Amino acid sequence: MSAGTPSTMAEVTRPVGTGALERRAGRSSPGLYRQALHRYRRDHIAMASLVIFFVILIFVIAAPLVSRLTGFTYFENHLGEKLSGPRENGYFLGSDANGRDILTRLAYGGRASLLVAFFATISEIGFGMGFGIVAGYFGKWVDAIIMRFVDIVLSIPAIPLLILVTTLFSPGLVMLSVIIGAIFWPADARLIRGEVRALRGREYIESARVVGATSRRIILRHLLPNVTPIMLIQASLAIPAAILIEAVISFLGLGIQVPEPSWGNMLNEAQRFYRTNWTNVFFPGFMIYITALVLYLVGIGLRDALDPRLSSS
Amino acid sequence: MGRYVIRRLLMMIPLMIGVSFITFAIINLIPGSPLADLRRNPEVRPADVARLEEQLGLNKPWPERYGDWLVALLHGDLGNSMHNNVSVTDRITALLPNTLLLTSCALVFALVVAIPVGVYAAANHRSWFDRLSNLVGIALFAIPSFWLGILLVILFSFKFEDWGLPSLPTGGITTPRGGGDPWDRITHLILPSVALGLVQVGSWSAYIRSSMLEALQNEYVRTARAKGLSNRAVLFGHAFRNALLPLVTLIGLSIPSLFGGAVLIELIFAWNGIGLLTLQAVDQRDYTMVMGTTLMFAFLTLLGNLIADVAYAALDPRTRTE
Repeated sequence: MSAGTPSTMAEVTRPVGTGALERRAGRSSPGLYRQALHRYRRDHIAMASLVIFFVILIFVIAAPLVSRLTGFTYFENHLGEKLSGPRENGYFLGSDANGRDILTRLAYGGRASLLVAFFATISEIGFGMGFGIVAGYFGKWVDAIIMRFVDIVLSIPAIPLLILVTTLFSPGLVMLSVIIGAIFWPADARLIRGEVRALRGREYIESARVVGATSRRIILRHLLPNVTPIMLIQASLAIPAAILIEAVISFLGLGIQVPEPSWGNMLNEAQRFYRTNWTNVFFPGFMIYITALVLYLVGIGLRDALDPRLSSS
Repeated sequence: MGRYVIRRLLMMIPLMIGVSFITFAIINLIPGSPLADLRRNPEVRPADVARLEEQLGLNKPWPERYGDWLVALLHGDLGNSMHNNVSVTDRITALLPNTLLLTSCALVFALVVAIPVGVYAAANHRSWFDRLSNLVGIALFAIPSFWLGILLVILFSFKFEDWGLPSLPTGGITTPRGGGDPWDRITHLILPSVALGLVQVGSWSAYIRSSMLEALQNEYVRTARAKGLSNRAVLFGHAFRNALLPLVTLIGLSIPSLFGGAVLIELIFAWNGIGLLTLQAVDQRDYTMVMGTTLMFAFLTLLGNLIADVAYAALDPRTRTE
């Protein structure tokens, strides 16, 4: 680990570096990210996961192409051929209770799942970073109010809270993402706050203040770049969590509404026929599982690459 | 120690008030009264709706209702269900044991699997068992528990029945008619506990493995080996006792996800607990019931964290300083 790498662990108090080195770290610090990329490339599991994720991504983006290949749209019903098994009546993976093609719906359903996961992560990290930096930097009563709020939200199990809020809102895709972000940010805020508090006492922040930098400038130019790596790690681990959360909400019939497919609501529809058509339960769940799994592995790889001190093995 | 516990218990009070306030605010700041359906129904006279509104206290502004609710709560009264007027407190206390039974069985199952696997993997570092358990652990980590639950039912209830093997029940706490003996209860518990607990096994065993590896590098382990203690005594008597500490914290941290997962598992296995109660109450816009169960979940989470912290303090005297 070179001297130019920003500290990314709150509990580790490292000797304060010289002003010049620290300032360089405060900038975009190309060394860190290039090194991380290099480390990531050598991580076989992480690389394989990334490849699998790209395959899933292509499958989902090419949903219209999948639709053309199967010869089915994702919404057309064929009630005469409902609940076909795999390879039956020309349905490669079978058909659902309305006679809709499972394979085509998986491709389109992945769009909803991935989009929600992506937007949810952005809003979660946005809230978490915003509140975390503000609480950590300004301290005093601002910190007290934000952190008490964080404590309160963290003590409510997320799933019941999410069920309550989504029932009341009946959200669309974007709203659902924002709700997920709004419920899961407190853990990120707590992490960032600790990080910022550790950084705040560092010499280069003091020096910036001495030469008359405004709070805005200190936050944007000096704190933000230093908490970016840890936020990237958090974000990469938040995406698979959001995939699972979206699946839960749509599974309960509270998220993406049929006939628009999402992996979660496909599972919900299939569940009633699990005695006779177990493959209809298996495929959407498997897509949720494999996507979340490879994204976790990518996230863990990214974490180990960005901050080898956190590495598990 | 006693003072520490009391202080922690007192700290829970403002948090619980905060939780209740936030839940109340969420419910009341969003349009859609529980009586909306009745208002739309031409068969129901507006006067009756107004009477019902007054009876339920919905005609008052919500800060006032919150105040009333809070005062009642201090008397241990969570109000009556808006759906069928039964006491929320009674309903929750009746169903709580079911949820606690399910979550504690899942917890025990996860520990019983994760501890030996983690310890054995650490003791045989870089062996094929270590690698295999690591792979399986990673594979379990991201598995959606509700999907796993359905798959378990498909395999162990339906397919086993089709194949003529002894099968497990698909759901419920006991067999509806004539069930209820201990064996019947146990067979009903197996699948939901496994579905709920298996997700934790991967991360817990990985955690135990890494803290064991760390503990095994200590001088006292070398000393223990040097004085000729058996491998088992070194592993469990010396290293594991120290590796246990972070595990306690980890368990405390996974309590919210355990209860969250229980909601879905209760739905899939028709397990009559407070998770299922919450889902029904949300569906019926039974706000007093939702308030009650949310508060109960938060209380259980805080209590779980408290127990984890107290256990930590009991295991590690260094953290006991005031």
